[in-house]
Amino acid sequence: MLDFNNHSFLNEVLKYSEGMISFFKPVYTKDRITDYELYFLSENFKKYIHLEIDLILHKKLSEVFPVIFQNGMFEIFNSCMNKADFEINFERRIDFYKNKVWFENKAIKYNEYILLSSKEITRLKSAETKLKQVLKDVEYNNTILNDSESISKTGSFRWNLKKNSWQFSKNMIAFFDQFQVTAKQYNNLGVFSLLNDTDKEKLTTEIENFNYYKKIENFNFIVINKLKTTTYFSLRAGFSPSKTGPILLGVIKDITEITNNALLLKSKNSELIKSNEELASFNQVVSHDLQEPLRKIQMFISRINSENSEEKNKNYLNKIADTSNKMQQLIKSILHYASLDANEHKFVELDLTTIINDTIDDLDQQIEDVHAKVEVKNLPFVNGEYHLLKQLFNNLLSNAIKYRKTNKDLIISIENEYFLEDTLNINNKICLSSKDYHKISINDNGIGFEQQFAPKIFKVFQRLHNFSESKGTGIGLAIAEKVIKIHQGLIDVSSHPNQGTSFYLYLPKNA
Amino acid sequence: MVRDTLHIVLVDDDEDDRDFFREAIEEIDMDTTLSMFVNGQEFLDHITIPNQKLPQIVFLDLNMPIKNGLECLKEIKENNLLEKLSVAIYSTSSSEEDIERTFVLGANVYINKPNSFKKLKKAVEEVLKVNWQYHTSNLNKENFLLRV
Amino acid sequence: MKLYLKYDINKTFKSVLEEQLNKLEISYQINGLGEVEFVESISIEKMKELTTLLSIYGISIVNDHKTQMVQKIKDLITEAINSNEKVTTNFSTYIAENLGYSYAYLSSLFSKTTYTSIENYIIITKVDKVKELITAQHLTLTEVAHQLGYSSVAHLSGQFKKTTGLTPTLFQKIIKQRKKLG
Repeated sequence: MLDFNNHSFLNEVLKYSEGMISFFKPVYTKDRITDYELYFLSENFKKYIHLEIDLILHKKLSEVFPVIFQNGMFEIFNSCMNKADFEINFERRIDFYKNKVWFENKAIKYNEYILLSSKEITRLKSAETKLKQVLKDVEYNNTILNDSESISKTGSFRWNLKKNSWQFSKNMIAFFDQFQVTAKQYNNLGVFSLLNDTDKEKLTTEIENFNYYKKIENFNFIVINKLKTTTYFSLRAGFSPSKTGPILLGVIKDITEITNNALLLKSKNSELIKSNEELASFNQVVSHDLQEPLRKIQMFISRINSENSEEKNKNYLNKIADTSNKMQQLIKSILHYASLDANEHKFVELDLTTIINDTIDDLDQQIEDVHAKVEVKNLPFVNGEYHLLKQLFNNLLSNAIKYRKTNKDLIISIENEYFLEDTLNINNKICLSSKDYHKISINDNGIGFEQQFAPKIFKVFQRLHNFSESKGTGIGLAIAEKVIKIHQGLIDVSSHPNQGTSFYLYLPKNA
Repeated sequence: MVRDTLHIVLVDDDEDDRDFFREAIEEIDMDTTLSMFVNGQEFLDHITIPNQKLPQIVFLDLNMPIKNGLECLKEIKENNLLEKLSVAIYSTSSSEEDIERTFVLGANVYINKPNSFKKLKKAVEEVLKVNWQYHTSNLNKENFLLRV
Repeated sequence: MKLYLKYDINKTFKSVLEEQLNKLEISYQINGLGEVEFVESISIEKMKELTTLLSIYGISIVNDHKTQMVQKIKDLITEAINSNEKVTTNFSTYIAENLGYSYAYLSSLFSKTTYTSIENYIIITKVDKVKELITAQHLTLTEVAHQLGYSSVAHLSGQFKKTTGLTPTLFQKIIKQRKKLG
């Protein structure tokens, strides 16, 4: 039997060591272990139990330490007893008088006893718990960070300049993936792998001039991917000192949407300004041109009096009637012109030849009266609105008839040229719709006009000739221009006095 | 000084307006002669023929095709031979800014085309009489500004 | 480089006249604006010469009596306004006395010759002077009203507007802008 009660050397050593030793002797009842006797407890256990060990020595655990039957230690002891050299390591928290202590334990069979060596790990355990909590918080924050980066389309990075080592946030790597930058590339070049040569240089210069107080702000760059889509980025970074030298901490933000919106807003704004200007000038012209006939009517009325001959008065009345009609025509055409923009337009595929033929039918009488000839050569199909296009051609043909030479038969030819150009730049009106256009020309051999006046003729009520008796309201070509615009095309004209006029209609080819 | 005949020119592309003006002049009791042109270019071509007898006053419609009243006004002011010529701008109503502008560009008179024959006669008569004073006295022609 | 000039037309006229008369070695006396008296009668050739010399300067000799009268009336009016004397209702008496005819006769003569009444001519001349004072001499409306004997600035503006169709301020603005255009 072992005798540990002497103040042997071992006991002294045990007293001052961290580790604690205890021996338990199994208690059998009918060949089964039902309890254990506390055979030995090293002195250093005293600090937990606040009792003289003598008081509990050789007592049964069911009496002095019943918790072993609840916390699994009894079973652990039994397992050890059943197998020789079977070592069980386990951690247990024991509550001593509100003092909760964690122990790391090793149980093994020694002779016919259970040898338990224990070490307090409370601090360790508490650190472990704290660490688990911190790790949980960090994970949580990371998730928030990743989500926020994802939502705000930002990515962040850390660059140790001396070591050239890079660290990236989740979304930063997502950006690299988006632009097919490989891990090898971005681990070596970091954020530079997204920049073109010019921007690389720019950024390098900014970094070379670094100091810890200066931030790199509003550094904007563009990345174009293989599909030729452009993404706009804004970079912000600052320096932070570390043991191994300066660290660059930066964030890049995808500002494509903002940039595109700003560009769109700018273009819409200038469109609006232009539209307002057009409207103001239109209003001015219209108000003037409507007042004219009204004033004349009032004048005619003031000239009528009983002292005039009947014929003279009748003459004035006729003039009043004519002028009123003119005014009515004017108002109708103005309203029509104004309504062109307001209505929604449904486009269908149309055969221009049919439209021209219908127009010629409408103008049949006039064409016959002046003995004019209209030649139509292979016109294409276009996308458009039937009535608008018919009106366009009606206005152009009427014009040709009106400004024909009186000593020569009028010949009008309408033909199509295939035209290919990415952007049209005619009279400074840039049209960027589809890639190719039809170029339809309407040529006449009429009186023509000076080319320098070309832009004027499309304006409302502008006339180049002194035809005070002429039919038409001076708005026909303005309507023509508007119709072409609605069809996403352009109209142009070239002319020379006495050498006829050619109108060119550019209409986008069917998609 | 015998009372001179006042030579008047009207430039207006509208036939009815020319008729009204002519009838008004005929009814005004002053010694006048009237020449009319249908557009500014015609007038300028005529006036720059050498040794042409110059009018004292020209009435210019603002709204004419090819060359409008303002363009004519500018050309008249640039021509040294036409220094003594009074220019009356004769137009359907314009904005205050436009009226100011015609004066700044050198017009002496601005007339709003009236809507009754009586008013027309009265306006033209007033212009002719005031113009006559500037023509025959040593009043400062540069300050001759009149709005009717 | 621009130069802005102010001129006294009457002084200019007088010196030109004197210069031309001196060329012809005629003894003369200038009796006020627009009237020269020769001590002796002058030959037709010298008259012709004088006429030609003066015509270069836009000065013509008034031949008939009626036009002479009208010119005298105009001269009196111009003198009176330029000398800052108040041109009041007594003006009719002043003219009549000065020229030795009844005001009614002078009035009718004036209208027939110039298409306008004496009263209106006075107003036109006065307004012309206002124009000169506010553009060339840069006086304020108050100063001008005082100098020309208007009872108030409102009275001046009213007459100005009635005569020209423009307010004095607008008139000033237009002249300024004209000068800017060169």
